[in-house]
Amino acid sequence: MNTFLKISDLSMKANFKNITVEIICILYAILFFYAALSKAMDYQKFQVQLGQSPILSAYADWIAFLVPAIELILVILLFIVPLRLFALFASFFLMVMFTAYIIIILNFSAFVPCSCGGILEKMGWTEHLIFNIVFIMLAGVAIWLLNNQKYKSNLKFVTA
Amino acid sequence: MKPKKIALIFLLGTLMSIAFMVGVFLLSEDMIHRQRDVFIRRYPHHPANKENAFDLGFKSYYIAGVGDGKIYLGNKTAPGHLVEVDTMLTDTTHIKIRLDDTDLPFRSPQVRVNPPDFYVFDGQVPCIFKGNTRDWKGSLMMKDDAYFSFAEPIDTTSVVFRAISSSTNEKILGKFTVSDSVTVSLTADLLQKQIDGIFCTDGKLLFGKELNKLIYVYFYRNQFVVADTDLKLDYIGKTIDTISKAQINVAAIDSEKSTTLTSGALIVNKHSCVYNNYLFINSNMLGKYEDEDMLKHASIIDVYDINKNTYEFSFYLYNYKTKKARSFQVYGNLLIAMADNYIVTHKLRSNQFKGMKINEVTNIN
Repeated sequence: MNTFLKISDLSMKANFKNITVEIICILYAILFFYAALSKAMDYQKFQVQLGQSPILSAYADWIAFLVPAIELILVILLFIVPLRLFALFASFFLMVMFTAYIIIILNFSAFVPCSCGGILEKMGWTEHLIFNIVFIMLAGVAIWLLNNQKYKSNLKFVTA
Repeated sequence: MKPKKIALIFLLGTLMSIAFMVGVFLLSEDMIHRQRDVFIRRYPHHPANKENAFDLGFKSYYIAGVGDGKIYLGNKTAPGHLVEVDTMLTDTTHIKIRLDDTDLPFRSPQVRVNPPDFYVFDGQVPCIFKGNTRDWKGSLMMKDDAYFSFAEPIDTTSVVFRAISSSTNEKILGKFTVSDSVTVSLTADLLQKQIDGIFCTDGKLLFGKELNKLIYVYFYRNQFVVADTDLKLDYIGKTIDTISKAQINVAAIDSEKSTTLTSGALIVNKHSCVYNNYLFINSNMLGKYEDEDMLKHASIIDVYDINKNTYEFSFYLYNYKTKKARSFQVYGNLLIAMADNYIVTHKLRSNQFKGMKINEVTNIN
């Protein structure tokens, strides 16, 4: 009886972790899909906005194409289970870059551009920053959970 | 993977991502600042916002001058008539200028107000009148010394002008200095001929009162000339576009012994004004990634720092009631634009204009 309870407890924990990872992946997929789509829908506008950015304007051609492309690739990779850890890492670093971009703009650039191009335009820069940091933390949690699972199951496999 | 390894990837990856963005930022700043060929404008967050507008009833008004919290508007079709408006555009006063010699064969007299002085000139007579804004009575300051097309009074005794040289038939700059008699000094060095020396050197002559500098902004090429009030070249500045050579076609009309501009002339710098260390240029050129549609709704104003010889940033001067600004003048924190029948003021946000004297700005309103 006792052991049964323990086992169910463990599997529930594992289940909870699985579901958390799953939800975070879905959230990321929605975010990237929406972001890429909104950029692609009005590609010319996105390019113009990037061209007005103090950081990226000189590379607007490339970035206008690369960012949505990377986002779409990540959406796919996030659903391929063996590549999930890689996809989460990539998402994590992409979000770190976006966040670094916002911090640079807010603190170091000569001016703050009117729009941040694409993603959730209605948000202010500070809200955007908080939003990004939340997403970065989510990716961190998902990576940690996913890796712990793999690591422990690998350990079990080795010890068994 | 071991937890340690994961933590290491997190750390290194994060650092690299941040370093990447910082690197891109530094490179981008560099490219925008130095490599003008890229021609990318920087648009900060709304440096100019519309304040007030007033319907003057006629399109023939032009800005004759600003000073002492007042805007003076001249009228092309009624040259002796001035309108004085306060900077809030609430009070208007009509002024009649009286000249001590009205029998001259005036062709297109222009008024300049630089309180407490005002000037009336007509380069085709040629003549210059000067008077005081207390009584608005102008007396003859110069007559018949040299024909000219543009003039800007620089102090109480001298006026700079643009004229056509009688020897080379090309545009030159000059200066009248009035003491007991009138002395005329001319210089052919400031304006540089590219095609014909007449149309290719066309532009706008400005006097920066605060800097005591003359600025000549070419219409058809990406250059402006900065000179001191003795007509000595200070430097030749570059506007951000890439049109270094005037793209105009000049056709000679042999029967009239004259030349004319054929169609297709590419205007680069349409209108300009100077205030403090800032040069404001209404550019006709679109930068990379700029939306062509914007030109229907606004004029692009590029801001340069004359002291530093740098491009600072650009902003949109939005049309008023679909009417584009045909000319404008900056005074303190106000940009005063003339559009169709209207005079429209826009407030410049002082945090974008760090070089502006703030006390001067607050005095105005």
